[in-house]
Amino acid sequence: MFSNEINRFEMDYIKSNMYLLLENGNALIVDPNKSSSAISFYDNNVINKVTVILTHEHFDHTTGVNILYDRYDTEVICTVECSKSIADMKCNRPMALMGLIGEYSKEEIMSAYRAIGKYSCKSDVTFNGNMNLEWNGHILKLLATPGHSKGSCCIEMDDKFIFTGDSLVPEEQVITGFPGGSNDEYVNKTLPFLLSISSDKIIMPGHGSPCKMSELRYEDGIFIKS
Amino acid sequence: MSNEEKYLNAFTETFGISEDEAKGLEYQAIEAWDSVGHMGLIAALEDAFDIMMDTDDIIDLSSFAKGKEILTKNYEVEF
Repeated sequence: MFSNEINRFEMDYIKSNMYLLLENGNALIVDPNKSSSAISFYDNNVINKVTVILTHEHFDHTTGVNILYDRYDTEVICTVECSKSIADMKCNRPMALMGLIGEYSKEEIMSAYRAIGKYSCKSDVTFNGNMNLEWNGHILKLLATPGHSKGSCCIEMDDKFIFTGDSLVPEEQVITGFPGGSNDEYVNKTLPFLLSISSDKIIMPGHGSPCKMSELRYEDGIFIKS
Repeated sequence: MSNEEKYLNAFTETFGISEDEAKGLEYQAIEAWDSVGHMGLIAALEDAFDIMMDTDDIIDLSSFAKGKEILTKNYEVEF
């Protein structure tokens, strides 16, 4: 593991990553989900204040937001476009689960749909372009990276980690076909940034295991593990 | 624009296909109508008819014909 402190929780079925760093009762959470392991973590740790950053607006990266609002003093940070989308119940439906029919039975998928339920959520701080902030002595740099979705962003922490959401998922072609996605924006705005990430950085993707940037090479539209 | 035209447009514009190709189309019969394309289609239909479809209907919309049946039965869209 690249960090003993950053916990990773995978959402059922779709395997989206939620990351959590807990220091002195303060939690920094990237892309909260509803996984039972995350709930168990909340139950077994003292958490006073939560700062949430969303890498983008899709349901598999936001289903845990309202749980945090219900339990803790929580502040949610995301792009303006992400904020607009998560406030609209229509945009939060877990339609991407449909792609898993076949791998799982229709009944299992319907059960997962219903477990997620209908929801909308709010944010507290929004940004366009980029935003810098300090959390518990850690330096965070947020950069809008549209393409996978309108409201996508990447988060650099301490000049060491980069949470890429679904803008960079190793071994996977980035999906730009969802409503609000744009291949042009990805190619022109986001890809140049991703290709400029130095080899010493640790990529914390929206799906799959973290890895060093030095392990990845970009080929035919995919960041492949060497 | 008639409901028939709106419905047809949702398919042709989402998947970049002709009207003839759209009629009779089934889920996953073309590359564009995969699970990602399906989300685009649902968004286009919801915009065209100003509706919000239920999860069961989204899952059940597995063909051009089935979609019309669902819209008629559950959303009072007449063709």
